[in-house]
Amino acid sequence: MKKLLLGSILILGVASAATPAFAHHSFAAEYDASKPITLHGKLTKLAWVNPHGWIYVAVADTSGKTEEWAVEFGSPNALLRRGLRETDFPLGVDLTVNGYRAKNGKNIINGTSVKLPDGRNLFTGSVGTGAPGDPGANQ
Amino acid sequence: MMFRRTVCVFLMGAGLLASAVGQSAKPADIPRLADGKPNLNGIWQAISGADVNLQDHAADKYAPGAQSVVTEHEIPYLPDALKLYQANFEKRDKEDPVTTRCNLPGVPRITYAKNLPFQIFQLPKGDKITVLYEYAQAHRFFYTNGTPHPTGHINWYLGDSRAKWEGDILVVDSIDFNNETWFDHAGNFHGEDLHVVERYKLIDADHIDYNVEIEDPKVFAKPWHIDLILYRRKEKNVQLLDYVCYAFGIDKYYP
Amino acid sequence: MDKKQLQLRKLLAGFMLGAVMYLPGMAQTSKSGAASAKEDSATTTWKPRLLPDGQPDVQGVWTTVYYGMGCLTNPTNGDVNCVPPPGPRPAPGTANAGGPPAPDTKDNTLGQRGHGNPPSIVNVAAQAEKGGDGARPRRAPRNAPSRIIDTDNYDIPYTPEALVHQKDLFAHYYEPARYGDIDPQQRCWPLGAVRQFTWHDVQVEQFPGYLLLIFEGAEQYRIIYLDNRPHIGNNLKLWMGDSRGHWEGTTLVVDTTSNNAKGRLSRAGDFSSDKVHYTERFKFLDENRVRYEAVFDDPSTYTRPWTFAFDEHRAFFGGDGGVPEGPVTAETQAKYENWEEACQEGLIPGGNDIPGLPPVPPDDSK
Repeated sequence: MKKLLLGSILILGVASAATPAFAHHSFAAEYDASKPITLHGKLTKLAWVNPHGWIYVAVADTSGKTEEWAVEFGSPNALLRRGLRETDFPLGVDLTVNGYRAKNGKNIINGTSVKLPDGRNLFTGSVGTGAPGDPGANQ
Repeated sequence: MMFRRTVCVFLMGAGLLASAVGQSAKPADIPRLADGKPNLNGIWQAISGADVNLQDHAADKYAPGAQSVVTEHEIPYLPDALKLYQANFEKRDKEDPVTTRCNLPGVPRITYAKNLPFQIFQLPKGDKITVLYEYAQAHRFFYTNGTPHPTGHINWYLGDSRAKWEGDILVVDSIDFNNETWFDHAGNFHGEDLHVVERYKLIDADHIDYNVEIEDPKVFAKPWHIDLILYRRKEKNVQLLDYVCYAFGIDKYYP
Repeated sequence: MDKKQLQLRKLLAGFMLGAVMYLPGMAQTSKSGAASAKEDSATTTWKPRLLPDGQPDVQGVWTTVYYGMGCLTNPTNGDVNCVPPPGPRPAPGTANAGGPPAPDTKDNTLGQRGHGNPPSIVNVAAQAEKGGDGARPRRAPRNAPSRIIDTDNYDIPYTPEALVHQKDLFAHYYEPARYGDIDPQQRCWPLGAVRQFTWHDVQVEQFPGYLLLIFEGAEQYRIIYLDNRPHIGNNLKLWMGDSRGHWEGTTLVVDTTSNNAKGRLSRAGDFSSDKVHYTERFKFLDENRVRYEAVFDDPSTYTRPWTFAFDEHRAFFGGDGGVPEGPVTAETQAKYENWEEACQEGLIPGGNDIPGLPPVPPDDSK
């Protein structure tokens, strides 16, 4: 077992030495900050891939027709290291999703929050998508 | 007369002793680190046809022929899984995640994907063994520090590996795989419940016997095995290069 | 998240930035960086633990002090600094827009292209400000030293032809028209020997005759060969180049050739040719800090050699969350596991599409 730096402690502040969050790819190049959107739908698929993960939501309109939306979030390791697993999010569950629409007009959102019915937020603590603050906060 | 008999006995004895020594001579030929463990440091490479097809296959336009590396010869698919394998085989040229998308090949295919070399880094009493692969710049850590797999299922291409020594064999236990990799170009596949146990055994200074047990109760009726030899690269100044296949085709537009 | 939480987060970020600033000796490091091109390891009195082959033990996880993938002249303030007004600035309020930098007394806008932040700049912690409709705080400017430390304007000294190419690339950054307009980092490609350090963190492992850099954030690694083997042929180009290093006291000096330069240098169209040659110095100041400097030598692209530099500290990158909790100690570093972040799937639906072009260029190689 490597014994590094016996007894040394960083003098870097009391909290963990995290550096601030920045998206590594450009939100601005792909998403439109002037187009916030809120969706309600059912979780159909999870894709916890890198560099950013995705969830897929089936959104029904008033006539009952459903459309699938892709919602981008941050790095899966952010969720994994907190102990969250894909299996914690059951398919078919109702979701409230806030985010910004993709510039290309497709059903793609950069997600700022995804709330489960019990109030849990899928993106708890996850930053780094580069989006502005949650536009649905005041709704 | 007595002398001749003595000499005979002596010679027979010496012969027996020599053959006995010959049988157990192998361990003395293996390089070891200061902690007594077999020294796996170096650049290794498979030269089998496993990446093309784990089983016997003749030459075709795609690749040369090769003999099976499957110990049991048949892969024991469950009936529904067998149908999926056959469907994979039919569309392999469009669906193989390695040849069509350059996805990380999973385990054990990362060991023999395109027969590209990889380098093992091992320290005496180290907390892990680090393996750097030329294929897509991948790496794996085989944690030898007694830590367990992390909790819960995680979907990784190369899984999570925890290792220990059983005598002179490095036994690497891996789980937490996604279901997006194939074992070969022929379409042999698995699900998320894949459990792989690799055994790396240095049979002499320049050869590793690589024995792999594959288990996935949702796909296979019972565990089965792959066995192939890994060869040490010995050319002077040989080193890993890169194989960034996911950039092929677009890299000409850069810089 | 609500406004209070957002403000709290900003305060926390500010506090942490402030804490970083007040690291003893950090300001010192920044100042001395300016003159550091010829500085050697004699400035440190640190006596490291030595490994059996004589290398100083620098194993562990390291990340940049000023993290940012934005414009090199002010890397933590988003891309906005690479877009002199009235250029096609990113939408206000978005993270990559940053805040407009404040003009200095000579009316040069510090931090911007052509007026990079000097190494002595003091980082202003982000303050929460109300802007626009009052519901969304406007991002205030952050300031970090330019990554370029030894030119008059702390920007890259391109030849006239190279500058034309750089501007052409950046002009298409927000509206890509060609496959080559998408930044390599967006594609999860290897970013090259130097730029790769600016993405997330790096795990250093050492073995007799080797120093390995294993980058988290994309499955990449570099092998620094410490034996006396010759370089591979310079025409055999590699994404991370071919590195040969040796220790001079507590400075690791690395010579890197065979660079294919395809990773470019920033999202703003900065680049080298594949004739570029880097000399890198990892100056370990003590067990927790390293000053990294890489001299870029490429007469076909630059009018003179220049130095790309940043400070790293022993820490975990926290930008995407998931930092191990508690203070960074020898124990937490030793326990930390670098988990798979396979990025070559390149699964960014719509993210790399160029309007009017097929997602994958037609393959003319078969």
